[in-house]
Amino acid sequence: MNRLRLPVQLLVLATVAYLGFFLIWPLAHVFENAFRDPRGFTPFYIVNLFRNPAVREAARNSFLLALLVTLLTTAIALPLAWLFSRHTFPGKTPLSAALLLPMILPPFVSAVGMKILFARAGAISTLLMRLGLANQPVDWFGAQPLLGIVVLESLHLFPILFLNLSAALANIDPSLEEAALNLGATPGRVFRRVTLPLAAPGLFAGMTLVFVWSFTELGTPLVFGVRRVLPVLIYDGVAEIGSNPAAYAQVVFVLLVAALGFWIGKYATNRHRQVATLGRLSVSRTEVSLSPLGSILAWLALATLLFVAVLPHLSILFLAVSRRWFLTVLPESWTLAFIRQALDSDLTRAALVNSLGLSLAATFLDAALGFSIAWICLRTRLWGRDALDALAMIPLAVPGLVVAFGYLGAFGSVFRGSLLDPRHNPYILLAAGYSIRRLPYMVRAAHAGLEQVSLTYEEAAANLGASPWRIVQRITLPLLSANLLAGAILCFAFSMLEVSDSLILAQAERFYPLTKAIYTLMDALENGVNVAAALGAWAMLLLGAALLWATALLGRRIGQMFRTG
Amino acid sequence: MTPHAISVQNLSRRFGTVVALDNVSLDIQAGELFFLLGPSGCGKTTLLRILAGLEKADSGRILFEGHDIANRPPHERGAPMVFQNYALWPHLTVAENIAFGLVERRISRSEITRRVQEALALVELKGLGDRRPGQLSGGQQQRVVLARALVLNPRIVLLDEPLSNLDAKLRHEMREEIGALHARTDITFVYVTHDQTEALSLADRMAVMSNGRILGLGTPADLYHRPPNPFCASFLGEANLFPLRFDGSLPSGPVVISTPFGSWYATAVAPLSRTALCMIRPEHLRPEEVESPPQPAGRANRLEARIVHSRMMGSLLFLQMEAAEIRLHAVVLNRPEAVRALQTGRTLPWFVSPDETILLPDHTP
Repeated sequence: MNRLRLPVQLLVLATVAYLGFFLIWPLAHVFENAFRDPRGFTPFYIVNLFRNPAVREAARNSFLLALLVTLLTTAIALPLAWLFSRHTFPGKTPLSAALLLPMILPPFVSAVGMKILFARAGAISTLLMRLGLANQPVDWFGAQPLLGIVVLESLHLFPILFLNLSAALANIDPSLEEAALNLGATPGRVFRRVTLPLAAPGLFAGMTLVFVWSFTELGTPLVFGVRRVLPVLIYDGVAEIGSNPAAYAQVVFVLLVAALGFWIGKYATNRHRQVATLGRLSVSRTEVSLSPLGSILAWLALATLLFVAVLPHLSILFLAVSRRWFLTVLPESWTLAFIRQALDSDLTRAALVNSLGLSLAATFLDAALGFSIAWICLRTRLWGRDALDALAMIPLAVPGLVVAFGYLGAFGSVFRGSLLDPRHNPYILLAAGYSIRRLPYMVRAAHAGLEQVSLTYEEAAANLGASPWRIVQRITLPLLSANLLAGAILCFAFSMLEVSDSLILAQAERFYPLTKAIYTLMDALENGVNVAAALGAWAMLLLGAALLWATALLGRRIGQMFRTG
Repeated sequence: MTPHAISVQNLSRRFGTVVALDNVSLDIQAGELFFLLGPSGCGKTTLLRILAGLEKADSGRILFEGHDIANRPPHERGAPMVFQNYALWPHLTVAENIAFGLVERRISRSEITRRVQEALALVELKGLGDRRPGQLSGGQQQRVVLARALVLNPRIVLLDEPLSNLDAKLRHEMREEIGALHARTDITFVYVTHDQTEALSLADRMAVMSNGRILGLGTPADLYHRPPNPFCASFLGEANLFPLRFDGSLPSGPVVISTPFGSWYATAVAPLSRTALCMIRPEHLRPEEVESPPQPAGRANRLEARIVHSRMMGSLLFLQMEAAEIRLHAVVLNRPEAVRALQTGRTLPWFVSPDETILLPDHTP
C-alpha cells in the first residue's frame, strides 16, 4: 500500500474538496442566510416560518401529500412484494421486470399525459360518456388536484418500495417461517407474527424514502398547477433569492425533514442488518406455486396495476404522435412530425445536447469518485475513511431542490458573472449538481461489488508480483466492471431526468436541459404540448433502455441501488 | 395393538430427476429415540421435512398414531422441529420464542408464563428469557430451540442435524443432554444426522439411508455388529472387507467357509450363494501375543499378518497389516506390552472369534 499512499491522499483531498465546495458550502450558505437579514444574525425567519399562513398551508399540504403517497405506495407494494417473493406463477420473471416500467419517466412528464387524459374534454371523460356512465364531461382533478399528484407519484414510486421490500423479504431465512408453521401458526399468522416483523425495518426504510421523495418533489405539483406545497413555494421564491431570507428558512425546513427521514430510514436499515445476519440461510426457499385460478387472479391484478401505472406514459406516447385528441377516446389523426420536431427545433436539440453532455460528465466523475471512495473504504486502512464514506452519503439526505437553491444563492452571489454563476452559465453547476446527487448510488454500486470480490483474488495477484496499482487495474476493476457499469447507467439515466436542479439552475433557453425544455414546451402555444410529449417519449425510450441494460447486468441485485442506508 | 407413533408407507419423492425418497416404509414406536442416518443427499432430511409437512410426498402414506396426516398442513401436525440452523426469530426474545407455539394454541397468558419458565428450567436457561437469541452462545441457542419444541408437550419431536453447528466439545455435551431429555419424557424423537457416532451412541433404533432408500434398520448394536450389507458395514465404522467365493449356498447363521487363511467359522447375516463379503471390525482382530485366544482355542479363526505401519492415537494403536495379499486394519488398546509386541515389519499370529467374522452379501441392494 506504501507506493499508493501519495495518490490515495491526493484523491481523498480532491474528493473532500469537491464535496466541500459543491455540497457543504452551498448547504452552509443556505443555513447562514436563513438566520440573517441585512441587519445581521436573527432567528426571526426560522422562528416565524409558520406565522405566514401560506407557508402553513403549504407545509400542511406537503405533509399530507407525502403521507398519502407513502400509504398508497405501501398498499400497492406490500402485497406485490409478498406475491413475488413467496410464490411462483407463469410469467413471473417478465412481470417483475415490467413492474420497473413506471420508473422510466419522471412523474411530472407523465403528469402532462395524465392531465390531458383526465381533462374535462379528455379521453377518460369521453370514454365514460360513450359508455353512458357519465352524462357530462367530468373534471377529475379540477377540484382535487392533490389527488392527481398522489396517484401519479405513487404510481411512479411503488417500484422503489417494491424493490426494497422484495429484498427484505428475500433476506428472511426460510426456516424462520417454517419453524412458525411447524409450531402451529397458519400461513396468515406466520405472515403477521414472523414475516412482517422481520421485514418491517426494510419496509419502514423504503417508506421513509418514498415519504422524503414525495415531500420534496417539485415537478409534479408544478404541472398540476398546485402552488401551495413547500417545493413550489420555494421555487417561486427563487426569483427574489437575494432579498428574501424567508425562502431560505423554508429550504432549511425541507432539508431538516429530509435529513430526519433519511436518518430514520438508515437507523431502521441498520437494525435490519443485525437481524438479517443472525441466521445462516439453511434451505433454499420453496416457493408456493399458484393454482391456475390463483395465477389468473394474480395476472389480472398485475395487468390492471401495470395498465394504470403505464397509462400516463401511453398518453404521452399518444400525444407525441397525434394531431387532434379532443373529446375522443383515441386521437383522431396521427403524425410523426412532433417526434421529428423534437430532434429538430433549436430549443429541443440544444436541450438534448445539453442533457447528454452534462449527464455524461456527471457520470464519468461519479464513476471515478465512486470507485475510489469505495476502494479506499474497503481496501485501505486510511485514517478517516469511514468519515469519507459518510460524507459521500450526505447527498442522499439532501433533496435536489435544496442543492439547487443553495447553488443559486451561494455561487450566484460569490462568483457573480463568472462561469460558476448559474445566471451567467449553469453548465458547471448543473454537472456538479447531477454528480453530487448521484454519487451515493455510484459509491454503493462499487461498494457492493467490492464486497463480493474476495480479497484473496487480490492477495494472490500481489503474491505473484503485481503492485497495488497493477492489482487495481488487472484484478479489481475487471471484476467490478458489471457493478460499475450498472451504476454508471443508472447515474446517467437519472441525471438526464433530474428535475429540480434543471428547473431552478438553467435560466436561459440555450442552457436548458431536457426536463426544463419539456416543462417550458408544455405551456407553449401551437403544438407545444405535443412536442413536449415527443421529447418525453424520447426520454422514456432512453431511460427504459438504460434500466433494462442495468437490470440485465445486475439481475436481482438491482434493488440494492435504490435502498436507503 | 397400539398403533405406531409414526408409520411411513411407500413414501416417494422426486426433485426433477433426483430421487430423494424411493418407496420408503418405516414404523417408529411410541417413545423411541429413532435416528435417520445417512450421507448428505440420502433423503433423510426430505423424509423429516415430509413428516413436518414442510415438503410434500409424491406418493405414499404417513400415519401419526394410526391417523393419516399426509394432507394436513404443517401447522396442524403437532410435530415441532428442531431446525439445523435453530431458526430462532431474531425479533422475539428467548421467552417469546419459546411461547410462540403456545400462543398459537390460544393458551392463557398465565399458563404460558408458567410453562415457559418450566421449559427454561428444563434446559437450564433460567433467567435468560428476556435476552435476544443473538445474545446467546450457540449451545444456549440450541437449548432454546429444544425448549421451544418441548414446551408444547408434543407426542413427537423432529430434530434436523441439531448438533451440526456446534464445536466438538459442545456437540458432545449436547448429545448427552438430548439423550437425557429424551429419557425424562415419553416423547417420540425422530433425529436426522450424518454422524454415525451420534446415532450409534444415542439411538434406540435407527434407519441407515442411501439414495432415497432404507438400507438398514435396527438397534445400533445389531447394525454395527451384523450389518445387512456392505454400505451399512462401512458407513457405521471402520470395516475390513474381503470377497469370498464358494460353491453352492449357505444358510444364515453359523457356517464354515474356506478363506485365504484356511477354513473358518463365520456368521452369515443372510442366506448366501456363491459369493460373499467377509467383514471383520478392526477392534475384533486380536494379537495372540498380547491376548490369549478363548478356550476351546479351536473355535477361533486364526491368521498370520505382517505389520506394515503402526500409529499411536491416544488410548488406541492403529495398525495396517497385510495377510495373504489382503490389507487389514486392526485397533488394539495402547498398552506397553502391545507397543512392544506390535513392531512394524513383524509377522504375528492373530485371531478373530466366529461371531465377529461376518458374512454379508457382496453388494448393496
